[in-house]
Amino acid sequence: MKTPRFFLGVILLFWGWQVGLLWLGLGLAVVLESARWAKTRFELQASDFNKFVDISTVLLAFTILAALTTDAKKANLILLRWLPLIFFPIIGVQEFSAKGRMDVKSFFFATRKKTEMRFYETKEIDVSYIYAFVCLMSSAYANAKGSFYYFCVVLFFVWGLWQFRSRRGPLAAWITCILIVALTGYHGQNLARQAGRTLSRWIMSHYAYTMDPFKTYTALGEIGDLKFSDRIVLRASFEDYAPGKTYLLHSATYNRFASSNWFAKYGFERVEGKKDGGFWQVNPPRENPLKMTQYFRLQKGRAVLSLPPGVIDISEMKAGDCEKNAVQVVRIEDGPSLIKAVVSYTGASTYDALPGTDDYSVPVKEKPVFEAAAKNLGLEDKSEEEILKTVHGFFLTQFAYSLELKGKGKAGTPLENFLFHTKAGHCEFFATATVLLLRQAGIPARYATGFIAHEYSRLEGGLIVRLRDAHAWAKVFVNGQWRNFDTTPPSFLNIDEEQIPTSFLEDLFSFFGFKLSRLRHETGAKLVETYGLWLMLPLGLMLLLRLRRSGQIKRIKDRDRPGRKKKGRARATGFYRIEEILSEKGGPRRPHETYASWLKRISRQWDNPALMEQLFQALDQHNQWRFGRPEQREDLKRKLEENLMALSEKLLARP
Amino acid sequence: MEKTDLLFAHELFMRLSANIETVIKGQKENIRYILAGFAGGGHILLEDNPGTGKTTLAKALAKSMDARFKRIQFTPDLLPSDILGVSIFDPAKKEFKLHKGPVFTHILLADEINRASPRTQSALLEAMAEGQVSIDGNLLNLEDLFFVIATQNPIESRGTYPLPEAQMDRFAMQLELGYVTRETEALILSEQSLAHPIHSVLPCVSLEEGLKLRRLVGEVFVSKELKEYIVALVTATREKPGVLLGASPRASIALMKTAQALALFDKTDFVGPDHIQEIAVRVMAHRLILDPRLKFSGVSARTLVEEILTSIPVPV
Repeated sequence: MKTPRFFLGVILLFWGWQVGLLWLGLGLAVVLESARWAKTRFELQASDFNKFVDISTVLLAFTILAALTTDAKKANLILLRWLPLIFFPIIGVQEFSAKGRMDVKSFFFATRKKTEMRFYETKEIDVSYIYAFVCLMSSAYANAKGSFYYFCVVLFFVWGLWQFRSRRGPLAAWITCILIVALTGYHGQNLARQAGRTLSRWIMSHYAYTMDPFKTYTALGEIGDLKFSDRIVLRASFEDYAPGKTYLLHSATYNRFASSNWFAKYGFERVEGKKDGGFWQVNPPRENPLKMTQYFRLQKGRAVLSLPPGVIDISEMKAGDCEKNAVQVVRIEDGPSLIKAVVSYTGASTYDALPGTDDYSVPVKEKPVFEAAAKNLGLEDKSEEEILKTVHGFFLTQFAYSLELKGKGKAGTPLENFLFHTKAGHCEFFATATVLLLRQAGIPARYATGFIAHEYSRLEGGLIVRLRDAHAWAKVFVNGQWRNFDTTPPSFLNIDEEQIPTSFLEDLFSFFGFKLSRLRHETGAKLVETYGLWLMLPLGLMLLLRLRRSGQIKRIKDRDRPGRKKKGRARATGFYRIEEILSEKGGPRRPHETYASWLKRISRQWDNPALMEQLFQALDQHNQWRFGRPEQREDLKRKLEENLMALSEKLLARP
Repeated sequence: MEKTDLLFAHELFMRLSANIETVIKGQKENIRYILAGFAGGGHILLEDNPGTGKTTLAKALAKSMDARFKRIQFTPDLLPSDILGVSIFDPAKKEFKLHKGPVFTHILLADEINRASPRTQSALLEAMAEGQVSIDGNLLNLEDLFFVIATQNPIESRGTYPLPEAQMDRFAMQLELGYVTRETEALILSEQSLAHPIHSVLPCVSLEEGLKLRRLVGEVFVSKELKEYIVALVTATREKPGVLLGASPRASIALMKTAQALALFDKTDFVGPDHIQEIAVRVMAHRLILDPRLKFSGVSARTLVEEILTSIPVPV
């Protein structure tokens, strides 16, 4: 099952051209195709094939590691690009071996060691077609838009399959078949791609964590348990941090509530900033701002920032674009995968837009519930401050925090159920109920989401914010100022921690990943590449040791480079020197021959019994030195050396 | 090892060898191997065509030693109890009395061993491997010097059963005598014209001397490299394609011990690579089971082991 002439060469050229390694492709192609003209073939054992497969394995491992350290996101692409080079040792050894085929056993460590392999089970395959396929696959790295690549692939398939076409039917039938397959393939892959895209979008919409500043889906009225992961989404360090202090980081604010979900209708405007300096003036400057630094990752190239109240400006943020809306939601687009932002903020006074009619409205559906609740609390004839105090006390004393979703229950709406029956829920319930209750009492309020930063990591020396720290709270407008108003019982942090387990190992990995990305972004990629090379060192050492232990490296020395070893030994004793001399005189020893049988064999041609007897005597001494009891070795060595010096001179003198 | 011990062992070997050679002509090499097998503590299987002198050789060895010698003629109707012994009720004493079988001896000649059924042959397994037999649930030890020399015709002969693999593995080596040269055969004719020389063989080695020889064999030094070489040879038979059953670790032990004995016969106190190569085929080949397809393609176990010998580099 040899490939047609020039097939592999042309495919390699195609690969080189597509992925931009034309010269490399040309070189590999020349090497492979030269196997057809070269007469030299190597007689290789199974173990030799194993070695070449090992080389490919090592190359593969190195490439994976190198790809992961240089650009983890594109690791698979980098790997794809270099596949033909990685597997070149395998195809190369096959093409230049006398057998011309590879034993399947070589590819698996498990089968290499299997002792009871029956001889008819040895399955030898020609890897050239497989290699050709790998090359074509790798050419896809170029990701050429349009159908040129597909057309080329079809052509290569036709070329490769030409010699296997059925000679029974007419040629036209074969061509038709190929055409049908090619067309089905083309449309099939289009369909598959669309299906994949739809599926991934569907999955992402369920699982991905992205924040939409225009609407947020709450879990109000659902059944089950809220499940958040303990993934770290943000790392923050505050100037004024003191142990035990918590911070609300605001991401988005919403003001319209309808059928259990919150919406916002504020348009975005661009924030002025110096792109290259990474400085963004979000609001007019003020004196004595507080400062905090945070690190986070972009999701699909964009992010809504989680910020402390009253942001003035953001510096050192390498984003492509930055926008904000009237309720101080800041979002950015484009940038490195890890973003650093140094935020200066007031901490108290905010820049949120003044209340509008939306901030007073309670949905018709919920109206009766909140009217009743407000009446119960007697909010109607209280001052603003009193109302806030009452509401805060109401939720704090009468309600419990729970991650359990109890559904709607028997009551009309989930909120009614929460307020009058279960009296337990998660932050979304507390925030929504607070907002609507305050609005009912005539205080403008909005629904804010974001994170609560409370967990100090000793490992990282800063606050870490996990996905499970996502939080929702109310914003109220009192005394001409918007301020945060969180009514969720403070015990919720403990409950979250108990119910959503954290894994130390995961945190550790996350930490190292973070450090690595930080290093890359702050110092440039080159440093990381060198670090990557250092990382490779232990792996290489390990592989080397493994090969050495299994004796594969040693065997190369023994079999293929006997000269060097003998020389090394010749200095140690003398009989190896004799062997060298005699070999040069035309009687090399075969590896399996003992000295005795070798001498017997070559002595037939020589007619010098006296010399032979001397040689055999020396051999006896040599054997005793070599295989005898170790105690006597030193003594013997000296004697042997003396004997052999004379003998080797005598041998050298002979023609 | 003392020089005197070396000389003693060598002299003992020469004595035995000469004594056997008075009966068996032209088998100097095989006598050396048989004695090596004996000294290494193994059992010997002689396989060849009828009339090549297997039984005579075995008898000559047995007679050369001043030790108890028993012979079992294996026939198709032989039973395990015919080998091991049987308990018989004694009406006078009203109790069972064990009549020990021929296995309770020093040298046991199992003649035509493959003419008995595998069932009978299996009676020998425990005795050959462990030097003990179990009869009626009682464990009985055999003599310190227990040596089985068996003869058989090739399994292609009529009226023979193939020996079980387990039994084959218990023989340290299998020897083939082969036909002697014309001159030697003529000499045999003239010697036997009056009487068979086997009748005039006298013991030349005492039981103690035999035991001492075996003890000395164990003292022969085997270097680590050569042990590794032995293991490489034996394991190669397991990895060779087409071999259904390779040589066992017992083969490694047998190969080492017989090589030690050969070294002793050569008056050296260490094993050399030549000793191992000399005996390798005879120790390993009979243990291998080849795939029938390989057999039909003309490969025999002997050629396979020879091939392995040429494929593994020897330490020099």
